[in-house]
Amino acid sequence: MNEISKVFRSGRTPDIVALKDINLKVNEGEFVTIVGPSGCGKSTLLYLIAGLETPTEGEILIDAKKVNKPDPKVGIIFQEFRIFLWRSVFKNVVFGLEVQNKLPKNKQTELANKYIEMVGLSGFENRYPRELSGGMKQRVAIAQTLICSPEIILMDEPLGSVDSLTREVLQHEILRLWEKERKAILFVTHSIEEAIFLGTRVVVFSARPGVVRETFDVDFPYPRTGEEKNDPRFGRLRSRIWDVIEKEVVKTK
Amino acid sequence: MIERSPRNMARNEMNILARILIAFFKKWYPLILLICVWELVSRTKMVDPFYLPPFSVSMKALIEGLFINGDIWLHIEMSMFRAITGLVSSIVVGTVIGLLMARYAPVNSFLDPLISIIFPTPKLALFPILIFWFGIGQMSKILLIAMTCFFPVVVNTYAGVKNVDKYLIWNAMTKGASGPQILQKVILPAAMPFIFTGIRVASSFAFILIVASEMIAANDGLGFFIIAAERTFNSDVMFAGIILIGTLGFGFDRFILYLQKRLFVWRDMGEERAPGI
Repeated sequence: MNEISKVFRSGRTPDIVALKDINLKVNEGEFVTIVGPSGCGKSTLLYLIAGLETPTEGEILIDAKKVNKPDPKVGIIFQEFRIFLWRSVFKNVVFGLEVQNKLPKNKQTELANKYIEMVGLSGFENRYPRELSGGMKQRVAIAQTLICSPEIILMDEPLGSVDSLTREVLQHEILRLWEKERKAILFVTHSIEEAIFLGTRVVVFSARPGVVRETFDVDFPYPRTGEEKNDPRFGRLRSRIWDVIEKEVVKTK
Repeated sequence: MIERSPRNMARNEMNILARILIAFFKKWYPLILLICVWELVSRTKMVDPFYLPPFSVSMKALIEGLFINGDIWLHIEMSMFRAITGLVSSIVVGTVIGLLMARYAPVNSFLDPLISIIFPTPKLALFPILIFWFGIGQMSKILLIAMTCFFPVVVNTYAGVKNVDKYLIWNAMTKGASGPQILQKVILPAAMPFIFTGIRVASSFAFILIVASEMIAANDGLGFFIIAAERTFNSDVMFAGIILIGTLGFGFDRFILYLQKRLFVWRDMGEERAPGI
């Protein structure tokens, strides 16, 4: 990614500069987490990368190719489980294969069942989302994205609206999936701890307009077990990141 | 331990039957009471039976008309044909136009002022024009019903499509769905509950207008049947026709509610119970 800016222009109020001159490079198989104060344009950045919005300036390159429209190669998981309420778990998961229709039906079914099992939802194939808990809905969303075999997965605070126990369980599961598939992940979160625990690299955003304030490498080896959180280095890293963010949060007040 | 003797089973069946009856009375006792009062005031001649024939006499006229003379069937057929043709065409046209308005701003800015003017105008006022242009045959009545039912369908479709969560459309786009696929697999199913609400309102309009238009200008249909009975002072036949059209309207509404329940099992229906559901 190079020098991306996003300006929301609206008639009456002065233009809102959501992102300014972002330079961020994500390598293959990297798990990059982004933290920053609310409203700093983290979500917007993901929408730009997914090709859902277009940058006002600059360009986004994936494998040296410019992003200009959504592509199943770039998967995105939204906040608050945006899955199709009128579709059963199975029909939700199979959605991407169904619309692309590149595989025969039985192969689609087979793959869908595989991903449903991978996220631990076997036995719930025919349930509707309203019958599922928040954590289960987010698992559906994860399976729905993974089945399209994306090269990059963008996650926009995927665990923001599940309870803290489910959150911890899902953190471990996301790590487990990533350790197995090693896809590049760009993960936006509000939680510094989550950012350190999951990521190979933590990127801290400033308050609006969002710019990359600082980047921290996390050198805990994978597979991570959760023990890292007790490591004194974990605590030190957390307070260093907090120092940077605190200044930004104060700015928005 | 419950004894599973035949006697107990029989008692259980009795209990189920009794419970169904009790539930029925609990819900419908006001109606039963009303019918009893009707029967009573007429039988005791508190009200002249010429003006209000007893319920039982009206029912007798209805049953005779249905099963002995059989002359009511033609009227039912004609009324239903007009109502359903008008309703179905309004649903098709209304859904398409509502969708176009919600998705394309120029269509909306062109049609919105027209709709906001024509919607509150009672379309029955236009009926003379329709008769003048198309005669008193089928066309004028079907058009009247279609014109009226079009509005609730179009307005609700518009609201439904506008309400579709942007992120759901985005989700489908990032999974590789094309424009028509998004329409078919995301926008329409998401808007369907709204569209159905419009259809339910439209169907009640259709029943009102079929009776009104047939009373004004027709040689058949239930509206004609009722007004003809009134003109010949057959008050029991007139009430028979009213009971019949009321029952048909009620049955049709129940049918739509049943469809709604079947189609939208994926929804939490709990929070939107209106009276009469």
